[in-house]
Amino acid sequence: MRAVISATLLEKLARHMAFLACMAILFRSAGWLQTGQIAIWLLTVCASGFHLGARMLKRHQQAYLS
Amino acid sequence: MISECLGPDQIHLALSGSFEKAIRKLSISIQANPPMTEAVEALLTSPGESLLLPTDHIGLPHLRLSGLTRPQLAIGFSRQGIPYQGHRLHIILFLVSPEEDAADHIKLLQRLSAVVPQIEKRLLQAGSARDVIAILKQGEKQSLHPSYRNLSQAQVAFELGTDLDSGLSDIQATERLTLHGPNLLNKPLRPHWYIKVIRNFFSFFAILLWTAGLLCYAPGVDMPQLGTAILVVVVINGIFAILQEQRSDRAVESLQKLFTHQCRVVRGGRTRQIDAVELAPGDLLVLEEGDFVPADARIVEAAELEVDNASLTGESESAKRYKSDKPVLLEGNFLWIELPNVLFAGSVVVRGTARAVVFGTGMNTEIGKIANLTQAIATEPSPLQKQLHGTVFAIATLAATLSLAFLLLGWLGAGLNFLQAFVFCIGIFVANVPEGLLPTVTLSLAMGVTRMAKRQAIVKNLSSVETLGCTTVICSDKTGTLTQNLVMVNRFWADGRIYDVTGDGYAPYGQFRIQGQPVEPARLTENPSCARLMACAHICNNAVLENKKGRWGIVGDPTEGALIVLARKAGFRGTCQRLHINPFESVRKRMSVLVKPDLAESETILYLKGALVETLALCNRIQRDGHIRPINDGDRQEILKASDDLARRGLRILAFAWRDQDSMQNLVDYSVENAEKQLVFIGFTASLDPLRPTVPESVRACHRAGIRLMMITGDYPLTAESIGREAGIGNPESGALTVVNGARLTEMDDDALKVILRDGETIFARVAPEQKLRIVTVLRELGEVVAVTGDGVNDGPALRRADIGIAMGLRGTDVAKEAAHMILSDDNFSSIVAAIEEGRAIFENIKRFVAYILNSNPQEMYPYILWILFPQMPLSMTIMGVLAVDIGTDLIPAMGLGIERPEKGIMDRPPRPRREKLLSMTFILQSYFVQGGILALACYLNYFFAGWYMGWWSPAGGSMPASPPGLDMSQATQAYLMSLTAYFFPTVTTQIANVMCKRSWQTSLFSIQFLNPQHRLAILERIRTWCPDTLPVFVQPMLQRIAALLSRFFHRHPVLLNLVSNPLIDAGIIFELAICVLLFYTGLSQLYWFAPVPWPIYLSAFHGTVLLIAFEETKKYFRRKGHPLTFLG
Repeated sequence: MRAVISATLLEKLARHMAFLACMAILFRSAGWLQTGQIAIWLLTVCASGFHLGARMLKRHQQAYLS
Repeated sequence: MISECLGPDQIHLALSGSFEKAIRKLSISIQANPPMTEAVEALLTSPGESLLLPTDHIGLPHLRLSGLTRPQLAIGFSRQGIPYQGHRLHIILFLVSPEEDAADHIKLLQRLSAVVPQIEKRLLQAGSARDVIAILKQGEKQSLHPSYRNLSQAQVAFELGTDLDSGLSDIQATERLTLHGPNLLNKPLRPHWYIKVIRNFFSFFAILLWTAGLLCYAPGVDMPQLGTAILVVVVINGIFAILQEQRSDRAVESLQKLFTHQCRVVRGGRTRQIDAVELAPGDLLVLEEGDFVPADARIVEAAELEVDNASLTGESESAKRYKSDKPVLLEGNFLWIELPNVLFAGSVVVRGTARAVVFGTGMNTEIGKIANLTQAIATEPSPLQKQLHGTVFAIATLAATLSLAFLLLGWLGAGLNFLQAFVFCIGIFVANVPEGLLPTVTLSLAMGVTRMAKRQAIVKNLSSVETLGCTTVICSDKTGTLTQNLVMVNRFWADGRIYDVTGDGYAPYGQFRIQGQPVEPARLTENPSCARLMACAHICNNAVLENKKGRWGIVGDPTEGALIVLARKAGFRGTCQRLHINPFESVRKRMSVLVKPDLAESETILYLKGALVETLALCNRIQRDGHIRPINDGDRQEILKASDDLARRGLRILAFAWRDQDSMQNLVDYSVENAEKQLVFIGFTASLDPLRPTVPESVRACHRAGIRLMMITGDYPLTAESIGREAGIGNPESGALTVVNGARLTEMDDDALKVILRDGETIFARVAPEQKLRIVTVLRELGEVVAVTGDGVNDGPALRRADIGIAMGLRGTDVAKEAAHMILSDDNFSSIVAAIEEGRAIFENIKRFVAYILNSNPQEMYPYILWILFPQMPLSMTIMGVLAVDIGTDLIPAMGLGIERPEKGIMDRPPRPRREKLLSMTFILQSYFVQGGILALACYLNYFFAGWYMGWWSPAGGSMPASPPGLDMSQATQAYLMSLTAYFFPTVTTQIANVMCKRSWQTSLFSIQFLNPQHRLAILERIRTWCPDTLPVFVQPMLQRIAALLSRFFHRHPVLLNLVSNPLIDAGIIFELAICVLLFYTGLSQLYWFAPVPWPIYLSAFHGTVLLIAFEETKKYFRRKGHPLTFLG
């Protein structure tokens, strides 16, 4: 159960952060936000890491179920 | 089918001339490339085994040719007859099959030999090619004779090009392995690499990153370095994802390789052990007790051979097999599995030895064909998958429409520039898309799977869990599912009395009773008839009773095992010297042994057991009241009447007799003919596979839940009916129960079958697996959601066809498990009912989740609507607020709803209609305008309370802090940010109430009934035993003490336990409050645009919690009184 919840949470966080990165790029170009490019890039790297972590947990869960 | 090999051009109604001329004419109509002239000439020169003569009037020349794609048949008729070696042939059947398909060739030969002689006259009277095909089709369907008729061993060896002594040579084996391929069943295809690439590079997450990367290159944004860096991240992420997938696929494959079998074959005259995958047609198998049969093979030598065909038939009784060249003539519909001289891949040799020549390997075996059929049946999406597709589509359409409308309104109506309006558009889209839906459904299903695994039901496919919830019909096996899959003697007749026997399984303990009065074993054996019966049951027996780690079991035939157990219950443990044995044969239906009971003396006794009528016919005396006297008609009638009474109740009768030394004095040989006569009748036993104790209650639960039961078994009708009635199958009020046997089912067309299946409960007995598939198909046509159990290879298609295929974990074959959606680890019917309860709970949970998520949407959407409609009104929730709601309140608490346990009374409702929607327009409207409206109202009340408290606004005048011009948040005032917090916080507090209220449909959260007593005890036990091992040892006793105190506290205050019984919801509430602290009091406040507010504003936000709980509890009160109040959501 923990694996499923963690995987779901990580996946959601990954998507949230990816979406946040899109927003940050738009807001930065509109001048509403003064975030650095490196911060946005780190956001996408973290999102990617969470996504891979979620996938790994999911695969473990699937292997367990099968 | 014969007719499938035959086209109208291949039928010649008026053959004439010589045999050679006729064959040449027939060969022309067969389409072969290259032409088969040479093969035909060889056939005519030396027909040998290539010409069969099933009767004096029918000739069956046959060839196997390379280059053919399918078997072809040409038929010629001659009224005057074509002369051939003293015969006059009126029908010539010329069969040509592909070189590599020996198994089908042999089967077609067998089928033609069996069917055509039966319809010879009708065929000769046919006036056209169409008539011939129609007669053949009808003949095949109606033939009472077997579809397979044996070829002689010599013919089989000829067809397969092998030697029955020395087998294939190594070169031949290698050539055939190349031609026919390895002896393996095809595995389901894995997706191509490019599918994997597309899946990983264009998932929803990847698309978001692609969008972010490409946005950087857009005019006005101009951050190409960042764009490139993000695209590199996307590519690396995709590559890692593919590598992950490859690694787990490889791990699964390497696990599968561990399951390869070995077998022994004779090759080049030498016996050797090889991998079963290397077997080829023509190989000579050497089999002995315990061996797995790796391919379809014809027996050429056998000694006391018995095989277990459970993997094919599901019935665990062993079957005798022997070498035979005689035609097999079985009355009624023929089951290929019953062929006595053929071994089928997948069966196991339980006794004896054999040699057999392989004629079918891999996908050409019967198992392979079934596996092929199983794979050919497409897997349909489950009702939940269909619902989710519909729901996602509906929500996506709604979100897209609303966001597009707001884009246009903001851009063209509210004076925003396109970018600002686009941000709003995204905000509305995000507010309306329940992003947590799919993860929650997955979690809910996974939790269901975990809970079901604890209840012995292992689900392979997550979406199948929910399908169980709308099951309307269960088609169950009998043996091993409803019953215990063992044989137990529960009555015996001796000395004119019937004794009842109690006990559990094969444990040799139990009681004997006469008319309810217990009889001590010592007193029982004082009765000479009973003692003799026990001796006979124990001695005339080949089974062995054993105790492995405290579990009693038998080695050998289950019926014989039951007799040993009976004798042991009576205290019989004698040994004797066995001098001669006449083994059991299905033709004589009995076995006998000659023994020397006392080693010190020379007395010999013959003990015999067998079918009652046959045994009684061999008896001329009876042992009764301590004496042996001649048996009379009165005795015979009494015995037959007593046995009939029991047989009618489905019990299997086995008679016992013995012969004393005096009557055998002149015997020199103890063969069947000499020894098995002049017997003394002792009595008979009645045995049954007992019902599982939990089944009757489970059947009642099914009836309460509106689920119908069908029993589909290969067993006899009487036995099936007896078990069915004991289980409670049938109309619960009238007790009406229909029993249909396999032969009647064959005669029935689908309309007649539909009439039977439409209502009530039916038992189908002596049913072949293909008939099971038909029943399932017809039930599905009637709109039922069908759960089907199965364990044999033959059950594969029915399991795949069913909405829920349930394979047996203990007895099930790999093919059945592969085809099934769910596996029962204990083979117990009651586990299916438990799984259905979980399945129902899961759909309820998903509905609660959807309602919960939809309720929160209006809070996020109304501020935009009001801001657009009333430009003077500030925007009270920004897009970042929407995202914060999305991550904070929509995830963990919602997932908590997904794992809620089944609500009380869930199995007292009828099954959910298959078409019931997860999300309807009414449901959306109720969610948005009723509950959603209350939640939004709570947010606005707090928003204006904050304005009043801070002095920005009062009913007399003033206004809330204005939005920054052009929504440029870098220009936002501190007061505006505080007003955003004042609106945002109640979205959290109201969602706390919302999630708690959604946990049940009608049971009050503050009621003692809220938790099922069984669940409550389980939770209390979990609290009591909670203590993490990772903590230091000295802390653990203290924690254990606290846990025990807590458990006791919650035991005394069950209502408080209700509030903490779902740990994920509690964790979710803590998580969302923690998120609020992070968003209001840390640097994240600058990103999400919030500012802290004074504590009275936070406190007042909880008024929404109270408001919603009061509303929901009132609604539940009316629901309990029988008013669903559906209009209130």
